[in-house]
Amino acid sequence: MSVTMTFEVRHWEAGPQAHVVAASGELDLNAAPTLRETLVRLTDLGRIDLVVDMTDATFVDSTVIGVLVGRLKALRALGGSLRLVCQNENVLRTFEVSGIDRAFAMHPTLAEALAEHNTVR
Amino acid sequence: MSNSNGLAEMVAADPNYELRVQPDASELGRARDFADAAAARFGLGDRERHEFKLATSEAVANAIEHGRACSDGTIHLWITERPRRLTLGVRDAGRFIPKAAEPDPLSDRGRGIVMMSALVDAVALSRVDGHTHVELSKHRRLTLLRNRDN
Repeated sequence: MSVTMTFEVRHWEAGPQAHVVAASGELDLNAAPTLRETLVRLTDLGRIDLVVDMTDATFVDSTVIGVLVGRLKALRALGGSLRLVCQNENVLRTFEVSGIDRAFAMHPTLAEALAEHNTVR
Repeated sequence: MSNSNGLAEMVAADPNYELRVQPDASELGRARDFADAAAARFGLGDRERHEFKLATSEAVANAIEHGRACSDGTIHLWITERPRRLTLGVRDAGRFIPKAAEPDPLSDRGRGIVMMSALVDAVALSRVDGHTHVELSKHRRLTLLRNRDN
């Protein structure tokens, strides 16, 4: 039986202030714990300005949106920020339907998210 | 050759119209593929196909997280096609009690049922033989054939 990778979460330092978490593939209930643990661990390490890059995400469900909303609140409380990168129409539609799309700073590309980040902070 | 599941097992299941998944989050992809294939057959456009797929994923995720598998250890999905309506059903042995809408818009829970309602034309919740059925329907949009002269 072959094992197919359905999602992937990677992260890297993007300068002194921002840390990028790239979440790819099918981001659903199955992927949510990995994404949550990654974001919580980074916050615990003092990375409070996070950019979640969903450029290669093909699907997002309500549990993943719940993870992002939970992190957004936690980071704001710490004086940090959470930015999202997404261009996939279906994923954007999912955020829209969830009714909380306006709570997030949403950027079409990672470069734009990081540029904005650096001017704002 | 008796079978405790009775009649249902005597009818060969059409894989296009019936699917059983393990109550595990890793099965959600299969449930979404099943929904997407049905939506494509029915002729829904890209956006509506995604909506149907997402609503299905939410319903099955809900059954996995909060419900209970049927007696055969799986969650059952089925498709009903009518000329103007495509319905996907999800059956599990749990007792689904929809929560009231979360008062906090930034809550990190309880968003699935709200999303399901926004994604399809009808959501029906019912209790059948001690099981919970969630049925999600998309209606075929009627395009205006032509401007009428009279």
